[in-house]
Amino acid sequence: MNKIWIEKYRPGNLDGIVGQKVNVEKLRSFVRTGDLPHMIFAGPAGTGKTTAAMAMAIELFGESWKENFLELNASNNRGINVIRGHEDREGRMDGMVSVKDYARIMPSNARGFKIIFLDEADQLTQEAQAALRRTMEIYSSTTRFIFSCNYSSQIIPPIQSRCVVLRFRPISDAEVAEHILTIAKEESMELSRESAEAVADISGGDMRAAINLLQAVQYSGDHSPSKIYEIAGTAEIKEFDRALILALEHMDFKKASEVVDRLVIDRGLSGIDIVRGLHAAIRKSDIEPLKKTEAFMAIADAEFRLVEGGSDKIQLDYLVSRLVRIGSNFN
Amino acid sequence: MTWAEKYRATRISELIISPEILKTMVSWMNRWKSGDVAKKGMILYGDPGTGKTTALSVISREVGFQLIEMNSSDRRNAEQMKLVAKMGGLYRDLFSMDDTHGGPDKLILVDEADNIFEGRSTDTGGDTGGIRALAEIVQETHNPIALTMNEYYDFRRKSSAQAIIENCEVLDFRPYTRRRTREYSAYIARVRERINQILETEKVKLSQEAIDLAIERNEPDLRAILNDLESLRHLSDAPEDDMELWDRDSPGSVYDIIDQTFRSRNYGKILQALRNKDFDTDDYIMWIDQNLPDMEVETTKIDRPFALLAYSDWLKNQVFRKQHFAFKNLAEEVSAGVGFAVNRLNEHYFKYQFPQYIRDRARIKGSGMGRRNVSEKVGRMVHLSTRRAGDMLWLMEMMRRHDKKGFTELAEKLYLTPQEISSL
Repeated sequence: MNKIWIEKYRPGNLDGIVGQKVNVEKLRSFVRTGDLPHMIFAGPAGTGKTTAAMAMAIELFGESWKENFLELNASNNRGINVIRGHEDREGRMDGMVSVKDYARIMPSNARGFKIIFLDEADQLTQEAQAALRRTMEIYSSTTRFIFSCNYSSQIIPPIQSRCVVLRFRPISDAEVAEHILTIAKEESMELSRESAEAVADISGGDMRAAINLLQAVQYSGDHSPSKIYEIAGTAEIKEFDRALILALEHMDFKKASEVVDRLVIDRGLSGIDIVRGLHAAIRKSDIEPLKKTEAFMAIADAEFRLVEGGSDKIQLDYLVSRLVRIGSNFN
Repeated sequence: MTWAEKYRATRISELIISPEILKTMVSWMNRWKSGDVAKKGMILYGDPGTGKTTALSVISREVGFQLIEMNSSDRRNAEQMKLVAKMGGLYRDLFSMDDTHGGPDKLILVDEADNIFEGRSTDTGGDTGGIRALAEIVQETHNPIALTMNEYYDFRRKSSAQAIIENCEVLDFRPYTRRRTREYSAYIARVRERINQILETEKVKLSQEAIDLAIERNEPDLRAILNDLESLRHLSDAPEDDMELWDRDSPGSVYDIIDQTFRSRNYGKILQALRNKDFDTDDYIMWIDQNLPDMEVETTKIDRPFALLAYSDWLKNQVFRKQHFAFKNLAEEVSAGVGFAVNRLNEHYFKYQFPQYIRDRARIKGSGMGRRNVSEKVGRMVHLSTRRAGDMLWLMEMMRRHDKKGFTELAEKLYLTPQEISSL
């Protein structure tokens, strides 16, 4: 049995999917007719996109589903190589199967097609998406594509136009809580309804986050709602708050940037992670509106530079120095 | 002269092209020489910078042709075409000696034939009738005629293009047909060899990373590879393991230049010192970053010098991203000005520090990679990207602390190495 609960409790069929009634019905009808359009699964994290794709593959292909279902994560490899194939500098294969290679293989099932599931497809570069368009056409007789993404708008229009879009909504708190209680029972874990509701509340419709949190709660031994809130408030969030206070209130550049550096060096966060963490910290802080607005501008600039390829350390230092300045302007 | 021009191949042995293509080109020209012509023309199409024009000029010379070139900087309307063709010997006159030499002695090259613009006015191209004239020429020519182009499929759609294609041998001019093949490895090896020869001749040292990056970004465009590398010639490397090298205090050393950057009031002098520096712009920016907080007394206004530094960092990163090399100098110039933006200088500070960030990163390289590897392995198990699976490391840590048996089983299943486990 898998030690990681999100895997252990991943449903193996469409019936087991929680909170996506309309989508599940549609998918079931595709399974019934035995044919599939290309699809886009759009929706926030933890709403069942990957699970739905896998469950459908299992229902369509039975035992041979693994041979007929290729899962690729665009975020691990965002470039055009994920489509066309890639080899290292000596010309050796790097072990990664490209979309094109896989699409060429004939399906090994009676349905006559196989599925390529491209997770986080919105992370693909424009070039990669453009390259995909042609591949979709060439191999459409034997391959169905499912793109998973947070926002369908990040998929280029020519691909969108070839796909049926299924929107996955955040799962309702009631459904999350219900499911959490079921898992707790399976694990012989004593959990009150209030605690399950606390887990649901923190997770915001993200079932993966909810189950991860539940597993952590089990380790802690204390299953009370207050403990659950404490576990969820991870160390990192506190560090972001600290960096923000050091910059905006103490106006201490060196100390604030030291906190940020430690998050990068010791916790392995990327520049973008830091910017987003600070962003969240600013958003929930109760500083005056104009200060807040200016801080958001600094955040936006930093995010833009980092996305455009600036280096983490320098851009983060500049961001912190701006927060210090914003703090001092209002004192 | 750019490296790409200076080191253009001059002999067949120097061409970095597919042996298949070479064979076809040589035999096509030889057939012209021996009077056994199958196709009168040849179309070479393919990515820019792969050596189409170079191959034609080198091979034709070795086979014994004089090359007559029409490139897209010339007007190429019907009249012009015919004029050149005439020079090439299409309409042979009495004085031509070609026959006595066994075959023609001129080869006509129509470079970038996909850029013959058929518009009537000079605004829209002014190459009126160019393609039709070309079709006629290819049909009637008594000289070999070669066309190069990037966009064969666009060209094919033009009216009259079909008549040209029918009379041409069409070659997809790729240095290799597929990646992951021996052919591809051989091609990359030759590109590397050429680069190394050039660097040696130019007495320029570049890191293997820079070379790899240039190849990766540009191949099969050899011209672009060389342009990239040439743009880097003034940036020598700062190998990470050689940190000790920094601890020299000589003119041109990083200490000296950092000191000038903060203290000199002479911008021109700082820039000049930078030109002779023996370290990379990245390191220069990192050194300023490290020492700026100690140099600026008015810490709440430190955003002013940092704004310049961050901007130059951004510029520097655009050099490769946008392939816009003008940014390289601009990045240096902006970073060299940071000292002038310092509001109040700490006059007593001279002990410039090696960038802590570089040290830390070198130190944690092992463990940082460990965490990344764990994320990747976990991600594969739970169908998440490495990035997203990073959000699960805290759960792994808790599991390790509270459920030793479970964690050991999981670690085995994921094939975690001891280093990866200890990185948690």
